[in-house]
Formats: sequence, C-alpha cells, structure tokens
Amino acid sequence: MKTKFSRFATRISVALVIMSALVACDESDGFQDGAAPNPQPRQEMAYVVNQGSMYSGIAGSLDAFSLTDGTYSNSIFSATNQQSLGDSPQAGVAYGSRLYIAVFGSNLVWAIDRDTWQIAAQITTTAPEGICAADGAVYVTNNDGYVTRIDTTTLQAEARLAVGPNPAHLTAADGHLYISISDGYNYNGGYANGCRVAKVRLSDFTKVGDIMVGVNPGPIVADGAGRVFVVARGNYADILPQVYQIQPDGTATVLCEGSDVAVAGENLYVMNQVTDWSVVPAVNRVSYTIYDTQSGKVKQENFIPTDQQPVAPIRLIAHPTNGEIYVTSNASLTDYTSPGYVYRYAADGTFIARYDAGIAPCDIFF
Amino acid sequence: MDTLGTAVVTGYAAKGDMQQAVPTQQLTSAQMQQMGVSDIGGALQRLSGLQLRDYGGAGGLKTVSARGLGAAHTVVAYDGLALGDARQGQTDLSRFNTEYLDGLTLSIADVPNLLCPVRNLGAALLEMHPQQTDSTRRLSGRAGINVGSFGAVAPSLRLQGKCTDRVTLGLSSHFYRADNNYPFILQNGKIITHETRDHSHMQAYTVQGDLSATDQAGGKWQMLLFYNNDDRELPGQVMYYTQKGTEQLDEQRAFAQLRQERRWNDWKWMCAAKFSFSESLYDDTNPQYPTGALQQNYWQREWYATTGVMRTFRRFSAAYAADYTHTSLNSNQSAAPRAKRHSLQQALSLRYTHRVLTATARVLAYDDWNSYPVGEAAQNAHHISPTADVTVHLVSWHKDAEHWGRLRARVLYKESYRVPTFSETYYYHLGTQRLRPELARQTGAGLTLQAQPAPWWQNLEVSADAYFNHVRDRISAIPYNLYVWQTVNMGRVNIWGTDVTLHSTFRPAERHLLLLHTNYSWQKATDRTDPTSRSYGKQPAYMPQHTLGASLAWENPWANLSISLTALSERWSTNEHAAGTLLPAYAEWGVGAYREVKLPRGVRLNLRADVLNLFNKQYEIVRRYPMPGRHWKVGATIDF
Repeated sequence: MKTKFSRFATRISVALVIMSALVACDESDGFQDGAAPNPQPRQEMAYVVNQGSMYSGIAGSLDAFSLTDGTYSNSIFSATNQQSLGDSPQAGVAYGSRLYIAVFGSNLVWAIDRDTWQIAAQITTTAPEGICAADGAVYVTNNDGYVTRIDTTTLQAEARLAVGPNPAHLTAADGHLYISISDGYNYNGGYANGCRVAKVRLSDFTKVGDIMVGVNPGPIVADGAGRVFVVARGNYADILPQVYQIQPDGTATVLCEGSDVAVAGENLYVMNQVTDWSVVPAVNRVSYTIYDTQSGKVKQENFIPTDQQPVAPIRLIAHPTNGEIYVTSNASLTDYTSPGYVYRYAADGTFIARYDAGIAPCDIFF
Repeated sequence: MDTLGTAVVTGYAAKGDMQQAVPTQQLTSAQMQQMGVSDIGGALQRLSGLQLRDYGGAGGLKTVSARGLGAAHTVVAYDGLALGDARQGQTDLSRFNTEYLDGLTLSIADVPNLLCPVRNLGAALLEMHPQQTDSTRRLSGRAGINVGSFGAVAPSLRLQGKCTDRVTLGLSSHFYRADNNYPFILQNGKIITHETRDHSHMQAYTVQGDLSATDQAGGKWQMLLFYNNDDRELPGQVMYYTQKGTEQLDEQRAFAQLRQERRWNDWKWMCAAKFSFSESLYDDTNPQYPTGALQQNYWQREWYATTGVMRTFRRFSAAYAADYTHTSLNSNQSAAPRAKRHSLQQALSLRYTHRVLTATARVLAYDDWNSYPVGEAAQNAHHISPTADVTVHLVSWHKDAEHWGRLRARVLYKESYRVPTFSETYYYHLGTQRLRPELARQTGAGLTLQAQPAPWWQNLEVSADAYFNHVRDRISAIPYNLYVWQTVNMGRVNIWGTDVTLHSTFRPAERHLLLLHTNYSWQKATDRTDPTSRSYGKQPAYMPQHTLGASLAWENPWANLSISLTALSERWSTNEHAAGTLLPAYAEWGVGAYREVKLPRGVRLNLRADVLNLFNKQYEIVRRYPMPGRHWKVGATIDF
C-alpha cells in the first residue's frame, strides 16, 4: 500500500508541477502600441481627443488626421511616447509649437511637441476639463472651481483663480476669458450656484464678473468679432438645452434650443439632439442649423442631410478658417465602449468622410 | 500515537449535494479547510457555475452571478431567509466571512425542499449557514483568531449553551480589520511601476444572537438577531498618473428573524417573519462638490413574512407558500424621497416521488405595487412563471458496503423574473420608472454519479450539467450623454454552458486520506440584441468561457496539507471587446497546512497556515482593480 501511495503521490506532484509551469507563464496587459506615426506639417492637421471609458477602465487617446489628404492616425500619443494619454481626457488646444491636452481623470495637462508629438511636459492640475489659449498662455478649467493659467514657456501652472463651482468649458474673446460655471455636481440643488458665465480679464487674470445664463452651462464659443455663445445644457430632464448669446451689456439672451454649438466666421452651427429612450430601440432626433452670429437669424436649416448624419453624436466642431464641420459620434446610441467616428463635412454640409476614431471622441482641435 | 480526529458534525444538516433533483452544491467548513479557502471570495470560486465579480482585496465589493444570469437573479439567503437589497438588487458578499459560517449551499433553478419561502425560488439561491457549535454539550464554544498580510486581524468568539433540553442559545461575534494596502504592478506602455493600493483600510464587526427551541408539540422555533457594521475606505479604480482615494463607505445592517416549522402526520407547516434595516453612508471628500463632499446616504427597511403548508399523499406532495415583502428606501438625495414597494409572491408546488423518479412542478406568481411620493412610480409588475424538474435513477449497484454506486439523470426548466431595483428606477438621471422586469429562462439537464468504487477509494461524486439560458429585456445602464447615464430595457442574451464537479476521497494508507475537489465551468454567452451592434454574438463583459477550481488535501497523522488552484480563462471588460480591454487568463495557487490537536476535556485546537497566490500572480477580476499578490494567513481556533 505504501508503494502504491508513493507512486500515486509522485504522479500527483508531477502533474501539479506541470500545471504550475503552464499557468505561471505571464502575459503583460494589452497596451496598444505600434510604430510611431510620422507627424505632418502642423497647419494641416486636426487632432481628436477620445475620452475612453472610465466606467470600463479604458484610458483615453489622441488621434490626428490630415486635412489635406484625410490620412487618419489613431492613438498618436501612445504610439509616439509609448505610454498612455491618461484617463478621461476632455479637450485640447494647439498653441504655438505645442499641443495641450486636458486629462480630467489623471489630473494633468500634457504639453506635447506639435511636430514630433513627443512629450514636452506633464503639468499637474486638478480635474482639468476645458482648455483654451490666449495672449501667450494656456488656460484650463479645474472642476474644483478654478481656472489655471499655464505658462507656455516654462510649461508650469503659474496661477489659479477661483471662478465658481464646476467650471466646464471656456473661450477667449475680446481680452477676456468666458467660463461656463455649471455647478454640475449640484444636481440635487438644481445647479443653482451655476447658471452663469464667469468673465476673467486676461491682462491681470482677474475675475470681473458673472453673466447669468440658463441651467448648467457647457460648450461656449466666440466668433471673430468677440460675440460669445454658450449652451445651457438644462437638467437632462424637463429643462431643455438652450443656446444663449452674451450681449455687450453683460446680459445673455436665448437664441435657440440646442445641445452644442460651434462657430466659424459669422456662422454659428447649432446641433440639437433629443433622444427618446422610452421606445426600443431608442429614437434619436438631431437637427443641425446655421445661424448668423451677427443677426441671430437662421441662415440654413438641416444643413447636414438626415441620411448623412452620425447615429449618436457627441460633439460638433467647426474649423475656424476653412469652415469645415466635424461631428464626433459613438458607434451607436447604446455602445459606449467601441471606437467611435468623426464625420467630416464641407462648410455647406456636404459629407466628405467618416473616420474611425477612438472610444468616445469628445473634442477636435486644430 | 496520533490518530485522525473524529469528525464532530455540527451546524446545518448537509443533505448530500448529489442527491438533489436540482443542481445543488454544498461547501462545508471542513471542505473549505481542505480546499484552502480562506475567504468568501475563495469559497464562491469553488462553486461551479458561479461567476465572482471582485473589486480586490478584503474590502472590495464581491458579488456573484449564477450561470451568467447576473447578480440580481441570484438570491442570497442567511439562515434560511433571503437578504433583500431593493436598492441595488445584489448582495455584497464581502460583508460575510467564512470564519463564522458553517457552510454554503448553491442551488440553481430550484431548491430541494418542496416547501420553502417563495423568495428563495430565484434563478439561483446561495445560502449561507451561520456557525453552530457542538449541540450535544451544555455549554460549548469556539474562539479563534486569524492574522494575515496587509494588516489583517480577525478575532472571533461563539458561545452556545443549552438552557433546557429544548432550548439552545448562541452568541457570536466577529471582528475584522485590515489595511489592504497591497502592492501591485502598473504597466503603462513602456513604463512599469511598482505601486501600492492606498486608501483601502477597512474595519468590520458582526454580532449575532440565536435561539433554537423545540416546543412540546414538536414545532421547531429559530430566532436570529444579526448586526453588522462595516466601515471602509474605497481605493477606487487604478488611474494613470494619479492616485485618487477620497471615497469612504460606512454601512450597517441589522435584522431580526423568527422561523417556525411544524409537522402533523402528513402535513408540514412553516412560517417566518423578518425585519431588516440597512444604512449606507457614502462620502467622497473632494472640493469639486457643492459642500466639499459628495454624500449619498441610503436607508432601507424591509418587512418580510412567509408562510406555507405542505401535504403528502402517498407518492404525491403538494405545497403552497406565500411571501409578503414591504420595502422602502429613502436617501439624502433631494430627488429621491422614500420609494416603497409591496410585493406578494406565491408558489404552488407539486412533487411526484417514485422509486426511480422524482418530478417537481411549481407555478410562481409575482405581484408588486409601487409608490413614490414625487413623480411617477415604477410600473407595477404581475407575472406568472413555471418551473419543472425531473430526476430519474438510471442505475444503481450495491455489491457490498464498500462497493456500491448509483447514477441519476435530471432535467429542468425554469422561468424567473427580476424586477428593476430602486436605483435602476429612481436614481437621479439613471433611473427609469418604465422599466420592465428582466426575464430569465433556464433549461438544463445533468447526470450525477455517486459511488464507492473500492475500499481505498471511499467516495466518488461526479456531476455534469449542461444548460441553456435565455435572458430577455435585460436591464442595462448606458450613457445618456457624456455626463449622465440611464437604465433601459435592452438586450437578449443566450448562454450555453456546462458545469462539472468531481469530489473524490482516497484512503491510500491507514490514517491517510487524499481529498480531491474540482469544479469546472464552460460558458458560452452571446449577445443577441442587435445584429448591427458590435457586441452582437460576443461574450458579455467579465464572463470567462472556462473556470476551474481544484484542490487536493492530504490528511495525515502529522500535519494536513492542501494545495489549491483557481483559474479563469481570458475575459473582456467590455461587451464590444474593445481593443485593450482583454483581461488575460490567470491561475492562482495556494498551499495550506492544518492540524487539529486534542486537548484535555474534549477541547480541540485547530491550527492553520496558508500561503495564497503562491506564485505572486498579478491579475484582475474587474479591470483596474488589481487583486493581491502572494500573501499569507495564519489562524488558530479552539473548540470547547
């Protein structure tokens, strides 16, 4: 019996050692790398910020495409730098010789070289969301209530200004920053401490006042003449999103209904998205209208034909000089973890191309 | 000379998991010891057909889903009655510790008892059996302490006394604290850094009092008072370039329950009542919130009563049971005042028992009525769902007491609903009042072999089940836009699978036992919602195709040894299998040594030491929530 047992134990031991060797072989986590793409001349590129999915643990990414030949390159940041862009990037801006990307979840702003896409600096700042550049500096909104000024020569955060709860997007016009104060985490209180656009003087980085707008302001743009338009996103329930125009006297008036805006020249592009989730499958109705920024009148309705619209739009962006329109989109209304799309249209709404972007493309900058 | 100790069987009556008409698996505390199981997460991974979702470490949320149906379809019961959670619909099993459990039972699709509370008749039932000590002694008890890596300390004490011949009183307490700051490796492209989990401290204690009594008419009474307090820091998911760690969750749960069972000739009657209260205080201190912190506090109350009667007529048995539950939830969220739900569940059951065949049929009726003081209440639900299962004794042989065996076959069909949780219905932005219940259909067949093939091969138990499940109107959360989410009824899922278990006991030599326990599951689930979607035909997120658990224990006169393995094949963390979201396969090994020492006056000392994740394998069950690497645990318990 002893011999039998010893033979049995030996076999078990051998089997366990073999199984152990098999399973001990490790595979590293699936970081997506690749050959570093070749950057193209800076003026011909558009950059796409992909938010990824925090819920699913998917980091964001930065794509680029050529405005001349349409060549699209995915994940240029990670392919160039062999490291992740970070979690939940929100927006970017090209300024001078660098690109700046605000990465909300990772509490940082990347400064990368505009020609080589290599990292120039990692600038730590809390929960950055909106970003813009003006007068030699880059400005980001911090979700904890501040705007931070980044010196573009030292690449350091040099000043921080309290502006109001949960500042979201911002734009520069007429020597000032205009910052949407959303109070977005105060949904139980009806976003009551937001409903305004903070105005900050660029020359001395001082807040000069607030302009009252609708509930939960978000996307904000300015045309070349300094006219500022902001989307009050409402409460995602009974208060619908509306576009406000800020008047020279410091008040704001409702221009139209709309969930996102973009501006090019004197064209204000308004996207209005209404989704009916009570039916299966959900029905998404999206309208695209062009307004004249000077008169506020409708110039063209449905400028993107229905059969050429994205199924699940996220953002609307206009190129400031060539007037092209871009709409970023999820793969579908219910798919938030697949790569999305960038739809490209000419200034007259003619469809040009659809590009395969990263997951949740949420901003395009040039 | 040492001899193998005589097993003292206490606690719940293990019914012999292979004798049931439905797929039922049991894990006793002794088996858990043989399997090297040291915590509830490890125990759940030894039950075939269960998928564990584990957010890492002792403080991480742990939920289970049976046969791919989702956590909300799995009923978790403690001491016979269901633990309700109307807010989230799932029970965080990390609150329970194997050290004060006598065992676990998993029943899929149906339960063995014809007469039972209707709420226990979910798509699957996971029963936790609270600890008992030697009921034959006037006063008995168990005191223990476990110490482990990452600051884990867990003392426990149970005292049990016989007040009279008919009344037994017990008192248990258990404390647990751990820092949980375990190391892990973060790979960020070419950058590999050695990090440590932070903001993971937890502290919990549980107090339980129980009373068992038999009245003069033979009726059995059982009363249980339970209180659990659990404070934990939440480390959150691992982020690139930053460590967050600002969240805190403090919870307490208390319940009181009373059960009674009585038999008269061919009649059996049961009734039970329970009140439970739970509080969940979540705090995320961060200046981005209006008051400097996000505080989401919830209070739930549940009144629950069940009663039923069973009558046996020769080969037939019939039972009727009805459950009434009243649940209310309120919170500090202004948009979520107190939501209430009354529900009535009824079950009519019929069983035919023959020498070679047992057939059971049930019809379940579910009705609920919802109210909500502000705005629209959830839609009331009224459903009827059937269950049927048949077991046939195919072959049996009995040469002598040391050579025997029997083979059984079974088939089952079951429909079950799960109603939307309060979070899915009312939570700000996320909730949708018009959600329909989610329907799960289960079809399965299986074989069970039980045998003693030879005197040295004392036990062989093999079960193999194949099943097909279909889920309709799956309730899913999807993003409304970049900022808010909402729940919708969308989705159909088909799930094919097999569950195989093998338990075997060998006696290779006198006073030596080899105990082998294995469980294996294969599961192929496919999304069948929309042929144009990228998730269509793909395995849903976090569902492995292959799951394997195995352990071998060598019990001997000196020190018992065990080696164990848990392995999962690769999984995706997204339904669409997005690039970069593949979670690699892993295997975790553990080794343990245990020994019982007999002391004077019938006192027994049990010592145990384990090394877990022996090969220091870094893995994740949920993406960005790393699990602990190699760690150790030692413990001592004394039974008196």
